[in-house]
Amino acid sequence: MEDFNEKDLKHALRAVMRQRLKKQLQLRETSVHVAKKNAKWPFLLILGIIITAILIFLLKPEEAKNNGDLFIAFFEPIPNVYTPSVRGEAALFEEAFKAYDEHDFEKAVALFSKIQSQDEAICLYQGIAYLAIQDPHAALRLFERIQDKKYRTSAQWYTGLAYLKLDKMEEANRVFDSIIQKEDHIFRQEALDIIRRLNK
Amino acid sequence: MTNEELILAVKEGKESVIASLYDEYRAPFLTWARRKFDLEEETLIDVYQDSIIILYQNIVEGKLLEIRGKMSSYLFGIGKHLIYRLFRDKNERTTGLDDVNEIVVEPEYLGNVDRDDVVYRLQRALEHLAWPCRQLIEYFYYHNYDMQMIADRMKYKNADTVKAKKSRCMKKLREHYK
Repeated sequence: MEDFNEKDLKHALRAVMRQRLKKQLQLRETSVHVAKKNAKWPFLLILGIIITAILIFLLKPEEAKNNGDLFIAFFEPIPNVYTPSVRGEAALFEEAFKAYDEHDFEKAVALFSKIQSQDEAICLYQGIAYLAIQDPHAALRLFERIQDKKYRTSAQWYTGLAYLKLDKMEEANRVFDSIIQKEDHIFRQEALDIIRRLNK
Repeated sequence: MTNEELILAVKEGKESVIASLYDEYRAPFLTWARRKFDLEEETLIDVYQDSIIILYQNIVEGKLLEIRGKMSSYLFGIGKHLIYRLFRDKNERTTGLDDVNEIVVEPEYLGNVDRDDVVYRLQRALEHLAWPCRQLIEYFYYHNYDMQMIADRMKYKNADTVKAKKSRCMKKLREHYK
């Protein structure tokens, strides 16, 4: 088999980053812009199909051997794509998300904790930060508080991963199954991949 | 956010700026594109998303060091390129595309890369890597950050730690590639 060189690696990294950014923008489109227009469902469905098709090319870990490996293989913190309303706390909010964006998750968790706003976006990102620092219990407590549809899609996926991390397979399977049932769920392909791996 | 601030934020690896950029130019881009091209709304949104990604990646890769004019003009220029290619792929006639400016839109965005197979296999191998390893390799080979910058960004002890981790990550990548 032909070996790869640095140029090949740069091309591949560009493609991987492109897929990640595309997913981020699709999430932004469905959660912010489509929601603003009172969610036109036929359009959402078409977009969902497009997203699913694109996701077929995304993460398909083949070598995960146990649930811990699966968590490592599938966990990736999504960049901040929402704009929570944090009136009066803009500086703190900015600092918290700066830490999150720089992947300083311990600092991000500490700063998110200081924010008084009840905006559920904070729960989502603080929860993801907790997962990144290996505290799935704290993450789950935050994800459970999320009711807003805008954030629930992502929260659901990370809830499944938190259960996976805790080795609570019944709960994890239930969450992933529920994601799979929704044809336009943005994490449907990942959930399908995890279930496929778990059933091997 | 000014053009200079945007370029700086992207070069510093702040991926989240892409969301505010997306929101800021979405409506003007779609209004302009609807007037100019007879395409479905979903196609235009898809093109807009790709235009934003190309702009972002051009900055990361150092192909775009400054934007002298309006950001919207630059984005519309990329959009025109992409729509032109879309029409060309469909063998349709195009109108209003004569004034496309010289903007970097690499052919690999359309999949025309030399050594396609190697790159594709490598892409799959990267996707199998755990996120911190992939991030480290991306910072080093794609963003061209030095070891100390990566240590600061990923909270590793020092540049030597990064060097050792990079070596292990590359080994894992090669294993997945095989």
